[in-house]
Amino acid sequence: MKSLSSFTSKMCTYFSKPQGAITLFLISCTFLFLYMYKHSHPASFQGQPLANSYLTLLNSVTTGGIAKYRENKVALRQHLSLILANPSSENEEAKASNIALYLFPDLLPESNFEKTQAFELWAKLQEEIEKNPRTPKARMFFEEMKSNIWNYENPRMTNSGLSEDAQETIKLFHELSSP
Amino acid sequence: MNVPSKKLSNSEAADKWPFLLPFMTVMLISFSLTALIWIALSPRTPTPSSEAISSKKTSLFASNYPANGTFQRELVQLKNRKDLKESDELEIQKYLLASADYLEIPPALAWCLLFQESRLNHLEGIELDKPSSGLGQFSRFSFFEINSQLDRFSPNALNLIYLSFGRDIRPIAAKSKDTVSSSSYFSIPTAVTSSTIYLHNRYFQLSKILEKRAIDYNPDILWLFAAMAYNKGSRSVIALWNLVLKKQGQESFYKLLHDYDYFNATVNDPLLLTKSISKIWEDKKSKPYAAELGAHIKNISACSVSPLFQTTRSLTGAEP
Repeated sequence: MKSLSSFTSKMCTYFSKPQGAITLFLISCTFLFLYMYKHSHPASFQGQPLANSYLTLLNSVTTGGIAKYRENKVALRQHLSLILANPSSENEEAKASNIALYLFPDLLPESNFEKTQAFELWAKLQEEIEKNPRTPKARMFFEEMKSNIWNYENPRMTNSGLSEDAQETIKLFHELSSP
Repeated sequence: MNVPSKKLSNSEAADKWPFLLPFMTVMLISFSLTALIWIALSPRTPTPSSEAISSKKTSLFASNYPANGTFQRELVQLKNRKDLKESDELEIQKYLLASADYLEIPPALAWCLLFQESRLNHLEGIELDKPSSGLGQFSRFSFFEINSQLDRFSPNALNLIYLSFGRDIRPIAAKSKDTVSSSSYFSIPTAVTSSTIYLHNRYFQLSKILEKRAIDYNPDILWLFAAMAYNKGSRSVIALWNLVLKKQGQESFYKLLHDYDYFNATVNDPLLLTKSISKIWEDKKSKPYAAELGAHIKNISACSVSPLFQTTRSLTGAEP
């Protein structure tokens, strides 16, 4: 206890001197820089499992706001387009296609019958939610989007329920449309 | 008195009536043009050999339903046990025929779908807090579509509501305390009308996907796909289409939409169905889900497809 108080007093004395103040300033700048870097650069989706992509987007909405979300969504789109152009396995391609179906239908090939459905059933509604996030209007669009996804995947609300991607998409847009 | 000769040579005739040849030419061209326009504008009458017409004449669906022995026996048991009242059965049939006629749904398919969903018990799930209930097992999202999104589908759907009830009865809900209200899904006319509209919406949705790409299809086969989509969502059907097109090619996909035997073989192939479903759901869910979907369409087909197109095995083997 005594040693701790003596350490504190020594630190106080050090930081009250000019060189101490400069050191403190430099440390603060380093932390500030790291914080700014983390929050100003889009999350890197490379190397992380594709299934985590939704969580990254959801976290960006809750911690960084809509601007951060948009930035990360652009980064995810870029990452997915690379995977879809050159998938390493059938599973990876299937997962990337499923994320693309719900978030970036334009990345799907024209031969995929689901592409037109995605544009008709949720892509436009998602755009509206993103334009007016956290408003009653956004919530209205969200309710319609949710219903469209449910009816598209499984109208009977049985245990088999929605696919993982549909559930994550609904969670994400629920957050974006919460007033 | 000199009488002029009545017979004139060609050159003499041409000299006498110089306008004859141009007049005849103009007349001939006018007649030809009129005939061509007449043919082009007249309504087309089908030729007996037309494939489309022959398929229309020989409908895939049975005129008497249920077509299979298993469902026939079960229907008799339901009636004997008084689980299905005669008055309810007649009311279901009355509204089903009216809706099927207006929406051009094969009545056998609509009946078999409702039988498969609820065994024609319009009060199914009324006392339980189940996510889906009633004659066509409607969920809150099925209600949302009927109540708020009919404008996305065929205008016939809304017209049918006006024709059946004389007014817009929406919003429809599973009103367990007011089963006679026209807005209650537990009322038979409302349940039959809204369930057939929901089935028609699935057909409309699937047909638009194909028509956008100018893909020809047999409407009867597409109705079977719509019945699959009614129960398991349109995505399961589209995933199967994507897989067949990608792995088996254009020719097989064409056969899937035109040839009932090929359709039957495809939807009864558990490996293929599981593979297509696994594109949507993870492995743990995709196997049981594919099995459910396979059993559903097997039962619907056995119940609704005309015995002419079925084997003895499919007529007797389908289990509810």
